[in-house]
Amino acid sequence: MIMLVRSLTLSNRVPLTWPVSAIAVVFGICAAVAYLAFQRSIEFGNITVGWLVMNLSAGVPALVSIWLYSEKLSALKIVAFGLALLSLFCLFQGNRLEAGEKTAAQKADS
Amino acid sequence: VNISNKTLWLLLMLVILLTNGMSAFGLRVLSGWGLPPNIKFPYLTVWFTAGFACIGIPLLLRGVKAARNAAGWGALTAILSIGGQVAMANALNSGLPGNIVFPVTVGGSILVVAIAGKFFFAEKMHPLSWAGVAIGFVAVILLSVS
Repeated sequence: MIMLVRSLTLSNRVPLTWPVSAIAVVFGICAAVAYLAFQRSIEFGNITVGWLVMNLSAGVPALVSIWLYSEKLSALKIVAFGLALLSLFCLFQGNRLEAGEKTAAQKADS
Repeated sequence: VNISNKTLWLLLMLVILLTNGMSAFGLRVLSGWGLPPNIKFPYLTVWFTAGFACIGIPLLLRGVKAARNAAGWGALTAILSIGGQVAMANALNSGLPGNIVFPVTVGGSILVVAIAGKFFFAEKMHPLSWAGVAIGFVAVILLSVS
């Protein structure tokens, strides 16, 4: 609603073309799917990890921009991408170990 | 198909990583097309409408009614989100450099959620997962300043 009001009250309005509308729909659906996936994941996973992955996802458009638009890849970005990969590896391995520990505990109980 | 919670969680994390990341990419595409900066307002109107429809239409078709509690939490989240965006814009407008504002915004939200997870939801994580959170925290901050 805020965006609609802002769009309608612009002094120099820009016409919305079909290609712009199409990418807005595609990426808008992407955002909705992401939030639904996040909501579903916290039903049985950690909110801390889910939220961190939501934030780490910022690296994906950065990588695509470097590939598609030949944007400059700075040393800081290389370090950031490396750490993001290491973080995802730790999170996924940590989740695997947690699941293994839970299964072992359930077996011991029964 | 019987998918274990572990596999489903992994799939959801991959979906989040790709879809949430790419959801912001449209603005980069607009910039690449050389369109005027004001195009972002009608673009975001359609972007939000598409996202709302994607979630709202299936709920409508299934006849799901929002509980007052859920609607209240949703409204509160929306207000806090707008508050965060406005505060960030004000901080940038007041002259604070982006390399301070963005890490504080992004890093702050991760820290708040991690604290809430630990103390409000009593989440238990493997030490390797905590290491992943710590490394990811640094990675997100570096991504926001680079």
